[in-house]
Amino acid sequence: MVADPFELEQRRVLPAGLSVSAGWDRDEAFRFVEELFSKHQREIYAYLLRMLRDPELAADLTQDAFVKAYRAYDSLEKPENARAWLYQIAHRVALDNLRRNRIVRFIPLVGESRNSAPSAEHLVMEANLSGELQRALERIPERQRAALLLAELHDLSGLELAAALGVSHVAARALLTRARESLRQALAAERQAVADSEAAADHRPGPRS
Amino acid sequence: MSPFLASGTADHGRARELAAARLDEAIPAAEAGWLEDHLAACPDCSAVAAEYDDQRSALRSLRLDTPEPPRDLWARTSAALESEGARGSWRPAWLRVRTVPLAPVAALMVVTIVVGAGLLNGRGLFPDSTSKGEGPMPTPINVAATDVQVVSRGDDGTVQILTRRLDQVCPMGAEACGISPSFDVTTTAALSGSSDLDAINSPSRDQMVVVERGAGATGVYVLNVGTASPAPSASVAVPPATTGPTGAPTASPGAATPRPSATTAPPTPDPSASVAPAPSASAAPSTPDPSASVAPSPSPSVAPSPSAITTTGPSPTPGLVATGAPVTPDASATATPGASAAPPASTKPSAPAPTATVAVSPDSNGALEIARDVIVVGSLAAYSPDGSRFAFTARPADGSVGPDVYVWTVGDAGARAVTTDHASVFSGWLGERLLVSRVVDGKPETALMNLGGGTETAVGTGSTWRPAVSPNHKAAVWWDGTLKLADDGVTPVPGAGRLVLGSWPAGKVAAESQVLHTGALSDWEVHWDQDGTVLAVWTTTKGAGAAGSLSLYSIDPATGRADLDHPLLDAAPAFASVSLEAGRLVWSAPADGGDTTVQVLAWSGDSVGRLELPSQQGTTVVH
Repeated sequence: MVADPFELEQRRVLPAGLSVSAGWDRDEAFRFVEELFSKHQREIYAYLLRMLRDPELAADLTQDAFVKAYRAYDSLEKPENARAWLYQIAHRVALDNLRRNRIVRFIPLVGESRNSAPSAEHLVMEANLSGELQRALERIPERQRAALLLAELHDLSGLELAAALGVSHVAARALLTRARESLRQALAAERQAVADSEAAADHRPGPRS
Repeated sequence: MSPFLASGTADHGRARELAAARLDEAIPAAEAGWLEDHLAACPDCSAVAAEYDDQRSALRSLRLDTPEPPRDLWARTSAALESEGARGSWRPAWLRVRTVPLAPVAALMVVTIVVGAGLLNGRGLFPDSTSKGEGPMPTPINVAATDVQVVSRGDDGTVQILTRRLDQVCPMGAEACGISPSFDVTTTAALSGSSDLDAINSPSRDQMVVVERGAGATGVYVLNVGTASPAPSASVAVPPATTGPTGAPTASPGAATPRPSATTAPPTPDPSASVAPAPSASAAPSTPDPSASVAPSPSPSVAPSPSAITTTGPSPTPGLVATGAPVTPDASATATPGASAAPPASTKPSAPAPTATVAVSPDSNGALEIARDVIVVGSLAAYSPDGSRFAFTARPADGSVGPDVYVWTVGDAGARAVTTDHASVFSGWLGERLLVSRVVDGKPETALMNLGGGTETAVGTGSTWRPAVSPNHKAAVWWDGTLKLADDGVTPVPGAGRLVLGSWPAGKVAAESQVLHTGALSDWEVHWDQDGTVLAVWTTTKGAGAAGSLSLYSIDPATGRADLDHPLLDAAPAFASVSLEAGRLVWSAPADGGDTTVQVLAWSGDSVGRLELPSQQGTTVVH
């Protein structure tokens, strides 16, 4: 038994002759990403969580995004574009994950997952704006969702949005416009579903609190 | 198709589109004017425009509950970054959430790596010494118990077999977790020398073949490595080696069995049966010591002949101590003239005399030399699945001719060549049959040899070289390309081409074949696990002894395809001789100061962990 497990560090192993093949300074890149992380980790995490609706996955993908930023350090041409550039990386990471898993995570409609019909009061509580909006967001295409989140919640300007989405300025605007209409329709569908559920509750005996 | 077109006439659609667009950027004055007019006249569109406005404020209200990232996020991220920077191409494939599409391998399903913030303290995967003692240890991960074995030379040149019983590993990203990073059993075999070694365990792990490599490489030896729980007797029928020049048989079959007591060791159940299929028993006239070829038969009756054994160590355990039996690879003198004409013992000065065998460890292991004065070609050498035979590729050490495939049948005194064209290499076992690749008219061909009947069938078409066939025999990895002669002038090696994974039996390289490596290779190893769910590929473009590159891929059970985009291990530096068994991968890699580190990647259930065992230079993983 080794008395001090950290003694192992003395013999820590670095594969000989291997280095990140790059024309950039590794320490510089590390410091850059460290600073980027401290400035933007919260918003990147929030974006990934909003896209993927899974806190653990969002954390892992946030890590992933910063690692990718480190690897792609030399692809950033202007430091002032760093934020949009970082969002672009995070966006790709999110879409890659969504495409890979193709998991459509619908939050169950209120009442659907319960055995008994919910109370009217419960419905009122659950059918709050945020829940309804979240479910509607789940229903629209991923890229539209991303565009809306980035524009409305993450304050990306038109050009930044285009950069983050990896499309032209015109295409980004068009995507956003389509997203607003998709979300409007999805919200309408959500409200209809809640109304139907409410009507069903009225016609069924259920526990009242 | 625009969702707006669904809403009615072109005008209504245009109005809604503009109503949405104006939220993001000012629209031209003319269009704005038109929109105002339309909305004033169209209650539906006006309602939609209002919904857009509401939607925007609803979306913005979500800012109020901005989620907080986990507190250890930087620790995790910096660990991954550190790994990137410090480890070069060893990408943090393990450091990410990964869902491997493998139904049968729940083991690899989800790899979630959480590095405690306290441990790493923001310093990365391998904290520097200033972090000594800070923070709590991560908790070890339990994995299926397995033995990790390596061989290396002791200070005196003897072969040391180091064993580590492993049932726990550290979480990914943690360098230490309270598990002692050392081997716990050292066994010294009665072999010494200075060359590099390669070692292969028999399926039942009671024998080990040790191959000497590098300059001056000369021999292939079988060691009896008795374990506490003896394996099936069929594969322990190592014949008693003779003492060579002195001609005195000193070891008994009893000694050859992995029993703890030499004096009570019974003869192996049926030594003659194990000898029977060995043509060399009768075809070894060139063997200076004929008794070697007949030893198995009479020896049961002389079972207690412990004289050479009891002197060997503090613990008088049995061991097959005789070495140096000059058993020539005996396909015939004409088949391998170089081998049989090779100079005698002077080329192998380190071969110990039998009585000089000194075991400095609890186990005394003897060695049976099954080939000498040869250079073993390539990194591929393997026991047949039932453990009854061992195959390898070798050429005469004098370089007179190219390689042939040799097979040693357990119980025989020596290996024999099964090819005579001096242009053949061993490619693997398919059940009890042997896959052999050879050069015919300058082109690669592969044949399946039936050792019993001596017949062979061509397999594959076109250029199939060294196929490594999956356990279900439906897929294989092979070299698809040209061959050239190595620097020795006699050994065929890959020229231009690629290493592909395709369906087996290999026809033409199908469009759906996957390319694992493009360009010249000096050697490679391909290992499938027993279920065919993961594939380890080691490649090198350098000469023998230099580190190559090891990757581990999951195999989709439905399609047989490897997930090359998401390697479980991505191009980690590794020396030849990789061991892949159910639930664990073991390899050795170069370390600081010329040392070697033994790396273990183990998975069990939904967890994956690793362990690093520092070792000395020249350590090779037993596979």
